[in-house]
Amino acid sequence: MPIGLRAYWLLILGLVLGGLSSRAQPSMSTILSNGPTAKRINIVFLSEGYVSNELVQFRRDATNTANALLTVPPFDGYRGYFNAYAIAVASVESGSDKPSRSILRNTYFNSTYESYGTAQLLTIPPNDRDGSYANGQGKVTTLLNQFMPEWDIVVLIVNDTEYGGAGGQSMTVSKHASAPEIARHELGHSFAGLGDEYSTPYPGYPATEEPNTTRETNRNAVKWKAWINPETPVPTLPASTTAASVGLFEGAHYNATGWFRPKNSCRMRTLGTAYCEVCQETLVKSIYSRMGTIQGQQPTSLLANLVAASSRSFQVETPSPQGRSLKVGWKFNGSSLTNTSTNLVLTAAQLVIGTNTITVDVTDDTTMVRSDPSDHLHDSKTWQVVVGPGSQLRLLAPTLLGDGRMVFNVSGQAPNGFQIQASANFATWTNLVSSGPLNGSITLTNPHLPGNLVGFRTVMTQ
Amino acid sequence: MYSQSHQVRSPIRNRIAGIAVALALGFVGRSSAAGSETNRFVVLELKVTATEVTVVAATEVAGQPKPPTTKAGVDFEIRTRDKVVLHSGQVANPRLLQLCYENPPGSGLMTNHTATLDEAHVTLRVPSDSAAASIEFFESRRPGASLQSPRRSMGKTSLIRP
Repeated sequence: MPIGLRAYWLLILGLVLGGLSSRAQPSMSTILSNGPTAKRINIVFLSEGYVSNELVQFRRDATNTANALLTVPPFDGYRGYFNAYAIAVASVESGSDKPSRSILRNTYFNSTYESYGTAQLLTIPPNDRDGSYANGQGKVTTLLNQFMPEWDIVVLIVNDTEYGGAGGQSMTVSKHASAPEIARHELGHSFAGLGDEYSTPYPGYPATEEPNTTRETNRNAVKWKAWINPETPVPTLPASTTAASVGLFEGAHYNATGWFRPKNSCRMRTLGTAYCEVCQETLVKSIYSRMGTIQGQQPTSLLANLVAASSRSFQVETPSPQGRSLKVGWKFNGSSLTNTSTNLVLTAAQLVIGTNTITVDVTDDTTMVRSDPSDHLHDSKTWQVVVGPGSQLRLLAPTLLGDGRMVFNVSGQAPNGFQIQASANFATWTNLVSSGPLNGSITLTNPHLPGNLVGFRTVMTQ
Repeated sequence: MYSQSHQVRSPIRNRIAGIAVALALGFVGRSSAAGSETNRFVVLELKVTATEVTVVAATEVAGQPKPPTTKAGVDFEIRTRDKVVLHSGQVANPRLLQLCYENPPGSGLMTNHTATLDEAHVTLRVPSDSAAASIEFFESRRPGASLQSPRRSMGKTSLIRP
């Protein structure tokens, strides 16, 4: 073969191998971005059973699954609180194992249907077919450490349309149409610590109550009592007229009797139904337990020293639920301000000599949460601003005494004393009161208020 | 934003079973993953059997994990050499495998499969602290039990390189 032709084929071979090599490297792409990873809840999707040329489809599947998760209440109202990422890693073969049909696929995480003898139980190792953590979950951990250690929710999408999935350390779903609903149920467990509300026995399972399960039958002691209307009987019978309301329905936590759930139907009991009010409340609180309502503030330092002449602005960074804003309230030296924005500017005239306290409270007043003893939906920041007298004299708004006299508060430095003057036209100024040297603040009263000089006053050094 | 050039760490490199590793900055593996640049934490991978807990890997990574959903089962405490608790938390018992699934398919009815694993792995994300010297796991107290009541230790391991 001529050298030139050989070089050509070597080049082609190199390009092919190089292309294969680069495709074989795991990579991560962003499919939903609403903010920095530290300030958002990060959903991570991993590809299983996708060969190299199917990874584009994986990103589409991940995007669709993310949308499916975030379009049901309460997540639809908080979509902007989430990021989503797709970690694409190629498998040698497409699909997943189905051992009873002798279908065995060489896939990256070695997933399999028919785990523990159940056709639709789709898992990765360690499981009954492969006990090696390193072959499955260990690889998930490695990729998460590598690409997104700040993960909050992990979903493995298996490139197979046959029905299947499982919750567990990592949520596994197939591409069957029911997959998103399985994922939503599992999200209740992994994200919010919700318990199963179904009654299928689970011998030996810890008798620990979850936010949506209880053994308590005293109405006033039921943890979701804020949601139970007075007319709803407790316990509540599924056949009663109040069966569609929140109550206390028997059967939950793998027990048909003795354990109770908030509502007759809920996604944590039956797929294809919505999360009940209590589960939605818990999910919202779980969102805020990770994020808070205040995600940053300016000034960053909560303690500042100022000279008297300075004004100061304060700002908080808050997330925004869909279509509404969080409730913001400011207090200045104990008094509430009318400002409800995330910014506050205090002028030099408003700040007093000494310690000023500025507090901002940010609350999500959603109707989805009725009970929040841990105050997840509220954050507060308090700045302390110590104002020194500075070199410039400041005259605070005077207090009228009603007899033609006024009380003035002057602060700053005036080594040779100062005068307070008044004017009705800014042209002619009349001396109201004089003072000796000042280094700090002083309160003084004028002997009289001549004529129509109400309106313009100034303080001048001598 | 996220480099395509990140290499996957070799599983072998991560599996240093039996070798205690330190959480101290200089003793743990480091990952260059994307994340908050100002904060770092340690991903601690542990192997749990009925009789012992072993550190498999400790990797320091950039970022700031948010508080996990706690689920009663196993308590853990990371302590200094002087037994001062630096960090504590609660995780579901990693040896208790619980798999939730719909049965029969399409019915909406959920059921579960449970199994107790002889050997399980658990991943903890804990603050990076050079004073960390050991980690111990306990069975969580029963609901309603006094906080003073003793907990059964499930295993303890050093976090300091011998």
